[in-house]
Amino acid sequence: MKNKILQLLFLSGFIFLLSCTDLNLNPLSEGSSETWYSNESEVTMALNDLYREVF
Amino acid sequence: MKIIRQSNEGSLPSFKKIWLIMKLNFFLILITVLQVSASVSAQNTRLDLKMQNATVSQIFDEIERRSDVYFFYNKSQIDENKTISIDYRNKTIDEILKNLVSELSLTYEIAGKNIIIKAASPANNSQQQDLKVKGTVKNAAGETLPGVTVMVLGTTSGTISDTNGNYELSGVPSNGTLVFSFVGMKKIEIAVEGKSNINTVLEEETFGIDEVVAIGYGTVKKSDLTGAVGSVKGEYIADRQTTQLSQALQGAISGVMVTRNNNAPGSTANIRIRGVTTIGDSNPLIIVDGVPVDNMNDVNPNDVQDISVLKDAASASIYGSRAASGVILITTKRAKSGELALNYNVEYGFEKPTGLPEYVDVKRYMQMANELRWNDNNNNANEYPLYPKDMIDNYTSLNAENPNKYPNTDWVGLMLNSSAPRQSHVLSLTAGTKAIRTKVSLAYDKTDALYDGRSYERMTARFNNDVTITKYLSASIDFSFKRSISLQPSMDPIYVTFISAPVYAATWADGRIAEGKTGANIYAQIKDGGNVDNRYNQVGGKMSLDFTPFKGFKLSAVLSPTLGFDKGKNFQKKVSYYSADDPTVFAGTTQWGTTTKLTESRNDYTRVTSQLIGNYMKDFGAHSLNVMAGYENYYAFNESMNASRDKYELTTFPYLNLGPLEFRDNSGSADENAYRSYFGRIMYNYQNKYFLQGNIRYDGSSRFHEDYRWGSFPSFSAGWVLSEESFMKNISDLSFLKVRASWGTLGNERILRKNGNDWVPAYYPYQATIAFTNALFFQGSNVAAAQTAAQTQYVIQNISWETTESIDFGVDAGFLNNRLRFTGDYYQKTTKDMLLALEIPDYIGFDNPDQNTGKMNTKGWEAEIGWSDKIGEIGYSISANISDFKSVMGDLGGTEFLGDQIKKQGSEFNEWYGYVSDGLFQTEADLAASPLLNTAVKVGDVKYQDISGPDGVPDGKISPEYDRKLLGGSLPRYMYGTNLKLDYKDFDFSIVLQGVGKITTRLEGLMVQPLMENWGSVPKILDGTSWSKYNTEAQNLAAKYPRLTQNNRGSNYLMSDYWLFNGAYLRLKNITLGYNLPQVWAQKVSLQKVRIYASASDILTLNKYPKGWDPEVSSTGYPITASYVFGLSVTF
Repeated sequence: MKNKILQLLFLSGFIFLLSCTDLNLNPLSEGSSETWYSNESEVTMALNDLYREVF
Repeated sequence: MKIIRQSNEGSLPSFKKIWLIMKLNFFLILITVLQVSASVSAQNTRLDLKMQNATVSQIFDEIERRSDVYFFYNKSQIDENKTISIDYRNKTIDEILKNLVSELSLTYEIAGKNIIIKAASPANNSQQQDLKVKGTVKNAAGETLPGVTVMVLGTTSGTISDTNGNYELSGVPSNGTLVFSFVGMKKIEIAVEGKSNINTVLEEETFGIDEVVAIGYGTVKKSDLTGAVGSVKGEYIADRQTTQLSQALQGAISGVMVTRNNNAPGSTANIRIRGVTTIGDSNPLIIVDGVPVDNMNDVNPNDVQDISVLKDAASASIYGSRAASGVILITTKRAKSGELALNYNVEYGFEKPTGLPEYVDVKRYMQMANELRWNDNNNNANEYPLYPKDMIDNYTSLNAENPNKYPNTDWVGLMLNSSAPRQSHVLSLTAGTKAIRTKVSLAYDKTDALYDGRSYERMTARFNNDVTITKYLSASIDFSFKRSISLQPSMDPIYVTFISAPVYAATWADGRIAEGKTGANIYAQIKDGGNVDNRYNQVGGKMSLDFTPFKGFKLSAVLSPTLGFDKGKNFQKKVSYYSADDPTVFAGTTQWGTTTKLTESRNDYTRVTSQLIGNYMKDFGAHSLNVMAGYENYYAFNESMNASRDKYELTTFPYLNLGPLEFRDNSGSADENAYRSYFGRIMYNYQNKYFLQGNIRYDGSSRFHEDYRWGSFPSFSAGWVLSEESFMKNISDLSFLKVRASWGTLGNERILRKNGNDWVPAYYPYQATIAFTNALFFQGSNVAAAQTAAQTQYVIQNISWETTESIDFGVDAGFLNNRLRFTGDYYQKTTKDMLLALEIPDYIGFDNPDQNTGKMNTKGWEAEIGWSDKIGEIGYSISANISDFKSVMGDLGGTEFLGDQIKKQGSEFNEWYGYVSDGLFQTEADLAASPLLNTAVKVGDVKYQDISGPDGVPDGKISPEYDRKLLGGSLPRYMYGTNLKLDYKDFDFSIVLQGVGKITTRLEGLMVQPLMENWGSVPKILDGTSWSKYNTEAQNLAAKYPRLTQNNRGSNYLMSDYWLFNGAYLRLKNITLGYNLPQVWAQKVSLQKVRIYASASDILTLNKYPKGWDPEVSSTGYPITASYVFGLSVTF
């Protein structure tokens, strides 16, 4: 019985490795509507866009 | 057991009693089979036994208690309360029993640790002579089989073979029959006929109804299936001799459509399960040993144990989110306890194109080119506008005099070799003990191409290990590695090779590269244009732990990472050619090789899957229950980087450092996605007669917004084994009959987005990207540019899963002792909420965003039939499958995908869409009276029907808006495959046929057009079959192709039914002949087995294609090739 409990503990340790992944993933190599405006320079760049020549 | 029961029915009065004994015996044999490895001669244990007035049952209990034997007997045959007194000292159990049974007038048999006690039957001894029969049981590979049950037909006497496969059975009637059976092997019956030595070979049950097939997160006996699952064995896959696994599945399983459009080295095939499921990505989900993978071709076909295809929603919904287009489960080979073998398999062979298009020779080319120009000059007085008459007439001598000015180049012959070599080596080691079982395989494949500079090399390795740690705990540790190297010249030469006309020179007379057609010299480009070198590496691992704390319950934890590293080097060189007369005068570069440019790419990716699965199985009397619940987590990450420099001075150093700094460029990007899933399944059956199954999967995907990301996908299925019902049992020819029905839903979140002209996966479809541009600002009096950022696309946050709902009705039947087997299915699939870009008002200022709106339906059926038997020493089996489907578009929210193939409400998926033709214009009068597409149309051009107009009636004009209609589906119908296998003594032979019963195909592009690109060659099929001014009226009436023209090419070769024909084909897919060296010879040189074989694939087709074209080839792609392979397999 003791043996079984030890094995179960070992298995639990292994399961611990299988932790969940966060499903809230955002684009890594470009800005997106979910993550933009997070700092000053991003806000500045957005404001700069008001001066874009061809809208 | 069925055979015995049937053969005894009616002939024996006390049938019920015998049946009871037989059930007991069956149980007993099952136990001994399971214990065979542990079986020691327990009956030789020595005992002291003294009992006074003990009952028989007390004596047996006492012996059981003091040794490790078990007694079995039927209470109705033996008076267990009879009392006797015994006194044995230091006697073996065998001796005790002998003494005991003679006193009680009983008999006994020993099978391993189990002892069966029966009443003595005097009748048996008096009537016929009994024999002592012995022999050896082996499998097809010549290995001895321990644990085989050997029984005398119609009796309860039997034994099992020992560890060396030997058995010995006494009391066998000389006119009796022995039945040999073993789990997973075909049961055979052999008449004794007075022989005292009977050796036999058991064959693996390949198609049997008792076969075990993989289903999602588990396995099930094929006879217990309630969903639609197709399966194919690994040997069948390996026999196809394809380098890539996907190609080996063609024609193998009903309902699985495998298409390819070229057979270049390393090329793969496209797989669709039960038709097309969605406008987006309809690729099936691939699972290797329980873990989802990106590409089935990463598995070497030689490593495959078996493949299951989950076709209906009831089977596939356990994979919920990604299973809408079906699931392919691949199980790789593993070692079994007691195995030890080293195998080396070597193959050499070559590939030849199944057909190459032919072109008219140089004189005919000039004549036809002249005719084309003359036609375009309104057939004026000059019939030789391009090539003068004397030049054509004297071309042979002119060419001999000055080949630089009057070339005659056989482009196809120059570019393509007649065959390409291929080779393959597989080394595998199998070793299994009770504690550790290991299977290692290493493989190397190399295939060259029909043209120089192209090859494909692949190395794969797989290590599968199973470890039994304790009684409760076991583990499996797998490791796999794949490296493939694809080497190609700077561009694909096939199209340009086929269209190049013979009047252009590939090389000057002195061997230097020539101009071609003003720089279009494909020979020079392939020879000197550089190369593209792509290397793909993948490392995969899997660790799983199985914990079985009590009988029937198993808890498994799995962790499986896969890492990939790819790198590419694309070195395009400048290809210069010089004047024919003076090698120092630079004349230009080839059309494609204008500059030397190096592009390097690096991609890497990570996939991590983790699973926790609990499974509980229990039988409660006639009820049997199997419950599974699990959790799965998946994470994927991709990263890519590109760097390039252009305008290199030198063409000899393909490294970035040596390029000019001003022309450097680079880019990089990354993305990731993840899933989390909870799933469960309950399987229940009553008396193996009524089967019920329910599945559910609850999936969350990172591709959707937090609030819309979770979807649940349930399914139910039921099966009824009619052949187990009492009213069906007296139909003797029917061995098995089951009807099945299933319903379920599946999801798809593999959304695509358009990137240039390609569709690529959209990992963040609910998020709008922020695009960067520049704006100009005044800084004091200076103008400076500053970066700006803005959302330029509109997205809808609440987009979610596409769902596919499917129903399936099926029947499985076996006749004549399961020698004849049939499986049939009918299904319907409905996909809804497909993501489509619906129109939004223009004043919003954004592009149309994707919304969940589209619907489509697929209906289809499939059938498989098989027969296997033996005639004397010839064993044979034949199987055939056929399937059909039709995918029709439903409400697409008003959107239409137009083109030559369209998708709109009511049309088939990718249905042909174009004009309806009325043959060719034969007379000026007909031309004048008919509505025309444009004014360039002349006699000899294709005539189109005026179907409708703006007012709903024909308007006297051919216009794209009103005169095009649906012309039939472009997808194959009635796909079939057959497989015939024969074996005789040491020879084996197999033939595979595969084909498509109906497919509407279009003749297009370089297949039927003369002078492609306005300078190309003329296909030979046009010569004499085109409409021509030089023809008689009768010849023109019979003309197959329109007149030669460049001006009106646009009208003649438009999409219309003129160019459609039935592209059905039947292909001799594979033919293999093998020979196993007799074992006595092999064993003389200490080898277990030696097999030599020859195999040919794709060697013959029947079809209506124009000469030189294969029914599967894309007109601009690498040819389909037939392969001829010779192989040797040696097992040490």
